[in-house]
Amino acid sequence: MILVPVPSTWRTGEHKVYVLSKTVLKEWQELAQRRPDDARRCYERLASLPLQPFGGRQVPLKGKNNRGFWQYEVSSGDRVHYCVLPDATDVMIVSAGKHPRSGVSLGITLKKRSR
Amino acid sequence: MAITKEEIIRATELQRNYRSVLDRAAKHPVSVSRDSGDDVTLVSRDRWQDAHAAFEIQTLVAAIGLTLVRRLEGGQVTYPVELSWLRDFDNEELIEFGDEFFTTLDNVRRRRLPPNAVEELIRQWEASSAAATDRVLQTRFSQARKEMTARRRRRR
Repeated sequence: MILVPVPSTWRTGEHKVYVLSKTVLKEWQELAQRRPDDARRCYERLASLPLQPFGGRQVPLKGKNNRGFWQYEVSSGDRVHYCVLPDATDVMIVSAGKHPRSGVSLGITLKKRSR
Repeated sequence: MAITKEEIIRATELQRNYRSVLDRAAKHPVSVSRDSGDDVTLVSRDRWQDAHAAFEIQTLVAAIGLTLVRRLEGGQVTYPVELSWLRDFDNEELIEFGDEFFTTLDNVRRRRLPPNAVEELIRQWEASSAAATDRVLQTRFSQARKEMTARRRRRR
């Protein structure tokens, strides 16, 4: 596990954010370079409220093979997958970047239309 | 959503008192009876949107219910396009999904959850199907589980 390097302008939270491996660190750095504002928002959310769903952006993954993992939608094509470590103090990013099925959309809209 | 009151008026009254009719229509449905053509009902936008959302929920419930029953029966399943991701889950997971879906729906009906809770739940499962079928991601999840187990052992 490697601690995610944090630019001084980013807010840190009560949770430390790690990445699983050097490969994931590289993915994260590429993502942060490509979409700095979105990556910052993602980091700050994970560092403060990693286990709180946020609309369709931050969701707990379902199904037995996904149990315990979460997804954060960084942009329409980018996802970060992570888990919260057993002591619930630290977060570990296991994947960051392009998602093969990003952009899949729900065929229905149940929300009220905006005026 | 129950329609508690429906007022029926003639088209001529709408012509004569359209302001008053529109004010009443904002409070309850006002149907305009016409000699030529179908009758028309005026309702508030909120009420129309609620009715539209209810219809969509009904469509979704029917599609999900039918898909789950067919899958659990072991029969041929034709997945609606918007629910094609259901094929990525096994029957045990489908039962879990069905349980969560109908419980959420019931809680929305009882106003214990906001109306968009159903949509959010479906998005969670849809996102999960993409993760479940991504081999690279599943390998990472396995690595992460090992790391978590090792961390637990180190802490003991």
